[in-house]
Amino acid sequence: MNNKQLCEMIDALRPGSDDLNQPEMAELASHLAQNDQARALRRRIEQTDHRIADAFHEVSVPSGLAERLLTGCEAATSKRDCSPAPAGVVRCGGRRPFVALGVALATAALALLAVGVFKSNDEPLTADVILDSALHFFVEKDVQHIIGQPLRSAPADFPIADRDIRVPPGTLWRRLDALAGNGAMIAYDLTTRRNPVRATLYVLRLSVTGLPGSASARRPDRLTLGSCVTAWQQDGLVYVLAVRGKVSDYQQFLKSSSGTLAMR
Amino acid sequence: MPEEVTSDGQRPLDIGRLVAQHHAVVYRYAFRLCGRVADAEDLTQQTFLTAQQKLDQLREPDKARSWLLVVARNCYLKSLRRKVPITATELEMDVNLLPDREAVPDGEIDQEQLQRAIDGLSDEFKIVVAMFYFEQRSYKEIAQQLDLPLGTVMSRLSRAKRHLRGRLF
Repeated sequence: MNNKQLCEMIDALRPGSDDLNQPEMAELASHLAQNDQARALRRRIEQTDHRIADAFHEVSVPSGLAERLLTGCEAATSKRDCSPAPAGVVRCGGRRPFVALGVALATAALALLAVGVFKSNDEPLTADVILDSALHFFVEKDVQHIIGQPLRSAPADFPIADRDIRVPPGTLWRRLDALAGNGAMIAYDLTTRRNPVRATLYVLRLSVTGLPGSASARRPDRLTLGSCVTAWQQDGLVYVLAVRGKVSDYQQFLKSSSGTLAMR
Repeated sequence: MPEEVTSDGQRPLDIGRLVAQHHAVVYRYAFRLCGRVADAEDLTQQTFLTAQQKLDQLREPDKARSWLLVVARNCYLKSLRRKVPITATELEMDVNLLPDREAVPDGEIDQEQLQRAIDGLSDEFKIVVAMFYFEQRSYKEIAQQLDLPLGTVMSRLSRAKRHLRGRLF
């Protein structure tokens, strides 16, 4: 066995594996058993292999990558599934039928949010429309959730009814694009260092049919697109809480957010 | 509203779970193949989009990691076929590049140096060495998955590894 053959065969062995037991390695196995220098060479190559293999995995992962990947996948799903779903097939956790129905609802609702055609003489909006459109907005459209200003006190036109929530000073907030009629919207971005999951509380001046009069902290009203939303209304304001993640992330967020957002 | 579970009590695989659990390892593999952050992120996205379409092919959830790395590798190879082919660099077998000291020097491997060394390999060498070091595939598995003779794989693997050793140690 010449030097080149010896190196090639040793280089093919994975450290700590049983590759040497393969039939085509029989000659190498015999050579290693009889030759100290060959064994020493194998040890050195194994040492470098361990270090290179470890180094191969040491790559920094860009922050927010998982979110972007999920958004991309869900956008692809929405495009494929944009067809009417059977009536009544909306269930928490079943993504495809929900997205198909939700896309139809959200398309109309997002158009309303975007161009601000909420008018007091329109038919009342329903809870489904608000939840679906808020979810899609949170996941796909709301890209400015990191550039708000710190809250000193709630805007005069959006006094926060503090029956269920308390948003402390310093919370970043934004007034979203001015909407015509009575469709203004405020967003409170609730992500903090202590509670790093992405979460936003949207407050809208609307009247919505079917929303409860108080918040439920136990389970969200919707779970899809990798996020949870829950909505309620009080004193002429609609509150929509959107949290990135699963039900457990939503619950953990509320549990950890007693300083940021206290749900009574 | 209960979350879905399968009949054996497990949560069914969905792309959200795959992304959450495996996005980091897929990205790291993509970066080693592509050498650039933007390209690696594109390749990672393509991997999960492909995985989403072929999720029914993943029969054993505990093999998701290795399955996704195969998908990433295949996406990378497809992207190469779309590029203008370049002449492979021949890596000469230089016996002077054998690690001839008794002990390999300590110290961390410089990450930039490693990536430059990987980028210096032509694609057919880069793929086999990535499968060896990152996917921890045997030479037989590499040969089978790339549809190459064993001898070709062993030759490429050895030359690629010697190239890396020559630049890192």
